[in-house]
Amino acid sequence: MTDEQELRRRLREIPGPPAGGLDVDAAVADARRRRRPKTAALAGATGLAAVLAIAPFAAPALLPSSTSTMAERPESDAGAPAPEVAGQESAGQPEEGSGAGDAGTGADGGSVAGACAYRALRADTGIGLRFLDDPADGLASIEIDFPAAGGDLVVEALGIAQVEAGGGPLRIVSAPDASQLAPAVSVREASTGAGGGTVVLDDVPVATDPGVGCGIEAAAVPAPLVLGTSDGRPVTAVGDPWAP
Amino acid sequence: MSARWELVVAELVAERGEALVRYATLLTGDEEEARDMVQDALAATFGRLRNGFAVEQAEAYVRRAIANRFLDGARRRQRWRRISPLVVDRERLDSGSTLTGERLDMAARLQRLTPRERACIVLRYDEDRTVDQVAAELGISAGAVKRYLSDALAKLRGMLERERERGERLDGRPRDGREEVR
Repeated sequence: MTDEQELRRRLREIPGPPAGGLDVDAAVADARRRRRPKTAALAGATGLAAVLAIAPFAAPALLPSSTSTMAERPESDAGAPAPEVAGQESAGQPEEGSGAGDAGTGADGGSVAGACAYRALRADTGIGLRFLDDPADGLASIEIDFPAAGGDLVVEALGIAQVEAGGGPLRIVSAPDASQLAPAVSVREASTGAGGGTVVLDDVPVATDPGVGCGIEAAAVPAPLVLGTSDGRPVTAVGDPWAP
Repeated sequence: MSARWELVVAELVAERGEALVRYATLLTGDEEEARDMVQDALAATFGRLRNGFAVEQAEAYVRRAIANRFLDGARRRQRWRRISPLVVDRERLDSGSTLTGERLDMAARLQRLTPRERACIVLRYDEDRTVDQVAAELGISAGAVKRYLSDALAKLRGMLERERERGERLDGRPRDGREEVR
């Protein structure tokens, strides 16, 4: 018999605790409390979406008639309330002139495409970033894992992206647009020299806006969405999924 | 009416609650602390998970939450120990060589490993995870897992050896064959 088999046997001989003792109701109640901020934010976003949806119809009636206002608006489809739909529309109609980069061409159209197309921070910069605690209350500790080459990361704003659970390549289920991220109260910065290492930043403000859906039906877990710079280069990318 | 995730919590606790508490107990060495840890891990996990998770997937997340809590707690305690030389390990009973005692001794031996070594040993040998799975679960490299396992096995071997020698000195005869170091 080998050491390993012997150890396995001995471990399994250790008696388990007596049954019972876990309180399902308390666990559910506690989980509900933790989910609440997200629910409230979602309700807020839904309300905002509703306002945006009726705005094209309500605004002309309220404003003095102005042909220029009407002319600027593309022939809007009545059915464009959902951000996802708006995103698809604008992808095919790059008529607005404010398109700068991959985030935010118009009121909501370009932002959806941008929000669903963030890159993985680790793939982009070699830097790992993860929440160390539940970010739902708008404040979290984050761990920044620098590669052996070292580097720096300036966190200007932090949000929550919902990404497909189960590992594998990054697939964003929903995410806020970068412009929706509440700026951090103070810019936080971490850096290491050669050799890399891990830096923990405590109490970083997190925008809890749920953002827009990306049309992926999958179980999702939160991951940090960071807006800032890495080695002087602007980055807007998604960190590693949260492991509770 | 309960939400889908709430039903998953209930099912998970009913079917796997005992196994989760056992896992946490092996890590912490304390049943009460283990129950609190599982309770907290359940709340944290289901406070974040969206719907669409089966019990098995949810269990994996809860286990991960337990391991993270255990290692975070161990880190905090370690910091405290550094500044507080008066803090000592809880007294544990060395219960002799009865079957029950031997089982308890094994639990006590586990507690003498470092937290990461203990987590690696429990996951690898009690939970039957592969080295890669242990690495993923603890967020460390496979190489580090191998090192922790190797160190832990060497320590356990040493503990058994010392206990055997002590037993022989006290009894004046060799102890039960299971105590022999292979």
